[in-house]
This record gives sequence, structure tokens and C-alpha cells, in this order.
Amino acid sequence: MAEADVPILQCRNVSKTFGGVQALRGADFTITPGRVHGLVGENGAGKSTLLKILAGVVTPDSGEITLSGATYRPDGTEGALRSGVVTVHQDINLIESLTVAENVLLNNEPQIGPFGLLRTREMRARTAALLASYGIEADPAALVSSLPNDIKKMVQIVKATTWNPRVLLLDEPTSSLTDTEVTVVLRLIRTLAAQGVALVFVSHYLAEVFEICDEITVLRDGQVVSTAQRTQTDLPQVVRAMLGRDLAESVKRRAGTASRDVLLSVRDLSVRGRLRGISLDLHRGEILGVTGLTGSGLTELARAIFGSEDISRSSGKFTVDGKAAALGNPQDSLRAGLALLTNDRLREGILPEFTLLENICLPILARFTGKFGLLQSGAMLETARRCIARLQVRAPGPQAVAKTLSGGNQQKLLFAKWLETGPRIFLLDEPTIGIDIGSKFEIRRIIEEIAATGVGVMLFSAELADIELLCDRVLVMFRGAVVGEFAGAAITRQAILQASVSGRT
Amino acid sequence: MPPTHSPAPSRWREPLRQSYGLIQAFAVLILLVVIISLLSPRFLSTTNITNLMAQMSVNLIVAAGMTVVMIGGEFDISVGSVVALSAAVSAWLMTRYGIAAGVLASLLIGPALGVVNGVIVTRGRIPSFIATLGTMMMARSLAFVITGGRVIADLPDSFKAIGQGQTFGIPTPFLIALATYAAGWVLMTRTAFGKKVYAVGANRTVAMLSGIRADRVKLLSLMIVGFTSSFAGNLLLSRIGAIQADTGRGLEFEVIAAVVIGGTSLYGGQGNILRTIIGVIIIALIRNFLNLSRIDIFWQDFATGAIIVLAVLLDALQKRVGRA
Repeated sequence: MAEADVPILQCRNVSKTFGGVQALRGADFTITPGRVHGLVGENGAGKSTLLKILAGVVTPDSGEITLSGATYRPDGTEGALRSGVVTVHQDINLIESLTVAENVLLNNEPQIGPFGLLRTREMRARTAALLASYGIEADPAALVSSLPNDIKKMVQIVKATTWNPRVLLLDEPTSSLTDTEVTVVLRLIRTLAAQGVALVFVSHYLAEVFEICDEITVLRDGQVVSTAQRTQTDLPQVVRAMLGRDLAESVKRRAGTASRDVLLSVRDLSVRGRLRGISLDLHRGEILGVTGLTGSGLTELARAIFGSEDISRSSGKFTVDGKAAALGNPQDSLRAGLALLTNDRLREGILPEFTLLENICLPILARFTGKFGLLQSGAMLETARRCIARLQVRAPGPQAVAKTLSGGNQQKLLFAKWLETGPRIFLLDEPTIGIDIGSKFEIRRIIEEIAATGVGVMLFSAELADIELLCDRVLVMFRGAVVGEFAGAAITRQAILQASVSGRT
Repeated sequence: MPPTHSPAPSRWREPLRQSYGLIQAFAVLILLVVIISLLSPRFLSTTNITNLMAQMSVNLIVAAGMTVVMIGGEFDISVGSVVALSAAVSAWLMTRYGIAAGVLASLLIGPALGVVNGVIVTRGRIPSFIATLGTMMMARSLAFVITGGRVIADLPDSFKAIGQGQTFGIPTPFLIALATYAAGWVLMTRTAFGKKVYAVGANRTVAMLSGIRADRVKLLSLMIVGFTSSFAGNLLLSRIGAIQADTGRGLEFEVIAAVVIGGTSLYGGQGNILRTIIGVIIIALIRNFLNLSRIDIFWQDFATGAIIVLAVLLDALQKRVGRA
């Protein structure tokens, strides 16, 4: 392309602060037509802030951005689109009940006459030509809901190209796709680059970044820590840059309490489109970590083991204490001694309008049902008091409403609730998400204590600090399958992150 | 986020806070009574009050069941038709085979239709508003079939004595309605089932993961409202002494409105069955007032509708202010 190697978009010293938190500090970032530029970093590193600034969603506090040499200060998202800076969002935001053509030309339809009648045939013809030019086999008249995921993603990208982008920002374009689908979408991205579009590829999937990008920029704590040609760097180097050298020196768990007795074994557990042939063993007193990128199937695995109604297994066998167990639904699992702490505390954990007592007693109501089916309120109060004291939940009392507690105390309330069911196998899904540092330490201590009593704990977490500090053994998941196992001294953040982002050990 | 530590809890603070809504609703009710009695001198007469009590007992009983269903996050709009159908079946059987046959058989109708509604809602994953719309029409139609479009009267006097009688100077149907609420209150606050209804209505997923069979809870609560409808149908039959298939049209919306005015959340999970009594009384009072002041009957629904909208808006507004 004629303008190759001349940058089209340049950011110099761009900064942005949100309510006291500095999301970007003096970031420099340059992209060139015909090239794919990878943008990577951990959650909170500043990737989305940078994308939002380019897309015109937020305005930077300071710094200078130029587009084709002229100052670029888009007036909202509309302004960015008109300047040819187009974003493809992470979610597939197509209207499922409309056809491919209607989606691609949404709000941009060819119309006739004063009443705005649609020229359906022309819409289909234009869409067909567009799809053909990218080699996508999809019928413009087909409903989007009938398409497979990768085609949907490509339709979304093709839709973006109707704005004639000079710069195309792709936010996690492959996160909702399976392996084979990824290859197809990556090919489309290369085609666009060959046409002279400058592309930004934001992704956690470093293997894909290395496969497709010409340059790679790493962000950490709002700063650009490295920018390099793909050929001049490698995966370990990028991972090191993402993590930084100042890894928190926290105390690793004292001697593990794991025994050799297998408490729970899972064999060939699959859920269509989500989990593939997962087998694992959990031992008495063990803390078994399960980690991976967001979307790699952690929550799904926890729920599939527990028999949650929103997951339907396509295969899988379980034994608890050596005896076959169906674990077909939550009632079954609770009876077999399992408990599941969900990751979405506010939406699927506490009942915010209910009292602490009601939250705690929910799974064990049967225990308090006495004569004539009446609940024994005295016993319930006693139990709630004991639970609150045991986990040191800071609350006015068992009759306080759960929403008045801080996040950390709500989480302790949930631990109390599930511990009271007397679990022998405790599934914890992101137990320290969204709580303050102090509570994090308390929760970690609670988890250690639980394991020390002989309970088998499975810790599903993308929080590497938790995994590294607590676990006896760690399984790494990638796109719904277990791809690696680490134990003891081999559990390091570097090794785990590398396996999580590449799918290989 | 609110602070973690609140001031030292007093023993009474929490119960008081929880009954705050009840006290507030009661205050509104008293205010309404004062205003109406000032505007319309005949309002406080013994005849008017006893009439009111007898009249509202059907709505009260149905509203008790409706509160259970709505706390569980569902609706049942077939209640008016079930009242009519149960009364029709009861009357038809009673005039042929005696009181016991009529009452017992007709009391099964509501729960049976509750099972039908429940299966459609839980197995078919159909919103209960739509599912019960279907059963509403079917039950109404059956009521017409059974009565043949005519009035069934000539019921045994001993049956009519219950609905038309008084106990301690209070209309018996009203006392029966209050007894229903006593049972409803025990069910909702003192049994595991009640706690489960609240949990399922507040958050189905949390309830499900806590080992509660949400579908079963919903089905049972639809059976309960069916039972209260059939029960209310028999009481109505006993009080009026006759039945025609048209009875109870529009009852469902008046009852749902009363439950909402009583403070039960339209989205489930929150509510107090005792407050529903106040909701029913408020609507009955307003209708009574419009009657006493000889407001054109055609305007009465308009006024009731406006008051319902106002009450719901006020409630929503208060919640928003409370949150801010």
C-alpha cells in the first residue's frame, strides 16, 4: 500500500484519570495502515481506556492524538465513526431476529420515495457483494440467529467495514469463539490489513496475538511498558512485561493439608460448547486451584459439577468417597456434601433485601422444621449468631439486612451460609473478587482453615495471587478444556499465566 | 456502599423497621376513614360498615392467595373466573346432592387449575400472566356451560346462613377472611415453604443453588391461590344465595391492585401478607365512598384506576428516595 510505514494514528503522552484512579499515564501508541497492532495487558492495565479514548467514548485529560497528521479529538462515538475510526465490540451485538443484510445495513438502508420503503433486493445484493469480497459464505437473507458464532463475528466485522474504516479497533474479537472459529476470524483480519486498514487487536489470547500481529504493545498500570515488532519478542518476554517485576511478596501457604484419599473424582465431564472432556481428582484437605482466562470455562465447570439447572451436561461421571454419585441437581449435590459459592455475589450470591439469618438458613430450612411444619425461630437465630461469630462477619446482628454489609462482609456471610451446610467438598468460584485487600486476607485465611479441617476445596479463580498463595495443585483451563497441571513449587504466576494465554504448557 | 458499622442495635429497632411499611399503610387507612366520614356522614353507620365487611371478604380471601403467588414472582389472573366456576359447580351439585358434595367438590377446582397453571408456567416456561389468561377464559366458559347462562338459586338455608350470618355482631364472612390471613401469615413467616416462596421470588438462581426446587414452590403457590379462589367462590355463593356465570369479572385486577397497594413488589420477593388486608380495605373504601356520594357508576372504575396508578407511583418514588 502506498502509505505503508507512515503512521495514520499517533497518541503521545495520553493520560486519563477516573475519580482519583489513574487509568492511563502518558501512553504513547502508534498504528500504521496495513498492519495489525496487538494491545495486551492484565485486567485494569488501561487497554479499554485507550480504546474508549480512540472511539470517542471518553476524552483524555492530557496528551495529543493525531489522525493522518491532523489533531484528532472526536466528538463522541459518532464523530469517531465519521473520522473512520471504527470499533468492533467484544460482544456480538447483532440483532438476532433480523437477517444478515438487515443487520449489515442497519440504519444505513437504501430507501425509495417519501415513505422510506426499503429496497430489500438491493440490500441483499449489496450485502452479498460485501460478504463475497471477504470470502464469507453466508446468505444475506438468513436470520442472524441461525448462524454459527464465527460467522456472526465476521458479519459484525463486515458491518463495521461499511463505515469505510481507516482504523479498526477489535476488542477481544475471539473471546466468544472456539478454536476452529478463531482461525476463520483471524484470516478475515489479515484480509482487512491487506486492504490497507490499520487494525488494533486487543486480546488476552497471546497465542493469537503472536499469530496475527505485526507489532505488540504491552500496557501495565496505565503505562506502555513495551512496544516491539513481533519478530523481535517472544511469549515469555511479553508475559514478564505484563506482570512487571514487582510481584507482591506474599506469604505462601504453610504446609499443605492434602491427604492421599480421593474425595471427589470427575471423569469426562462435557457441556456442549463450554466444557470438553474434563477429568480431575480432589483429595481430602486439598486446595485445588482451577484457573484460566475469563471465558475459559471456570464458572461453567463449577456449576456443571454442582448440577446447576442452567448447565446441561452432555457427559460426565462422578464419584464421591469412592461411591458413584449423580449430582444431577443442587439438592443432590448438597446431600452428597457439596457446596458452591458463586462468583457473582450481588446477582447470584446474597439476597440483598433479606436478613443475614434468612440468607444463612436458606439451604438448611429443613433442619429447623418442627411440629406442624413450623420453623423453630429460636434455633435459627442461634445458628445465625454462631455462624456470624465464627466467621467474624461485621454486622449489627442476625436480623440486619444483607445489603447493608460491605462487600467483604457479604462474602463472609456467603461462606458462613455454605459452611453451615457442612460441606465436605467446597467449590469456590472467584471468592475474592471485588472485595478490599483486608477482606481478601481474611477470606484466604478462612479458606486455609476450611481445608485444614479435611474439606476438599476447589478454588476457581482467575486471580493469580489467590491461586499462587493458596493452592496445593493447579489446573489450567483454556477454551473449555484442562490444558495443564502444576503442583507444589511449579506453581508460579509466570508459568500459569503463560499456560492460560497460550493453551500450552 | 453503606457503612459496615451501624449504631448500637436496639432490641426493637429491627422489628420496628420491618413493620414500618405496615404502620405507614395503617396510617393512610385511618386518614382515608377520617376524610370519608367527614365528607359522607352515612359512611360510619352500622349498616354501611357491616355491608362493607361482608362485601370485601371475597376479595380479601382471594388477595391472600394472590399475595403468596406475587411474592413468589408470578401472577394469577384466572382468579375471578375460578371464583365463578367454583360457585357455579358448588351450586349445581348442592341443589342435587347436598351441601357437602357441592362444597367439597368445588374446593378441588381451584387447586386443580393451579396445577394446570403451574405446569404451563414451570414446564412450558410461559409467563404466568399469559398462562393464566388462558385458564381464565376456559374457566369462565365452563361457568357458563354449567349454569346454562341462567341464575342458580334455591340453595339450602343452612348453607346461606354462614355467609349471611353474624358472629359477635361482625359478619361471619369477614371473620373467616381474617382467619385466612392468620393462616397465611403463619405460612409465609413461620414455615419453610414461606421462606422458600420469598427466596424464589427474590432470586430464582440463588434459591435453586441453595437446593430449593423453585418449580415446585411456584406450582404449590399457584395451587394455593386456586384454593383461596374456590373457597372465596363458596363464601360468595353462601352470602348472595345465588350464582350467575358473570360473577367476579374484573375481580383479578382489583385483587392484584390491592396486593400492590399493600406493598408487595410487582417483581416478587418482597411483601407482607397482612398489609394486603389494608390494600383490600382501601380499594373497598374508595368504591364505597364513590357509591355513597352518588358518583356516576361509569366513573367509578376510572377513579379506582387512577388511585391504583397513584399508589404504585408513590411506592416506586418512595423506594427511589429511600435508595438515594
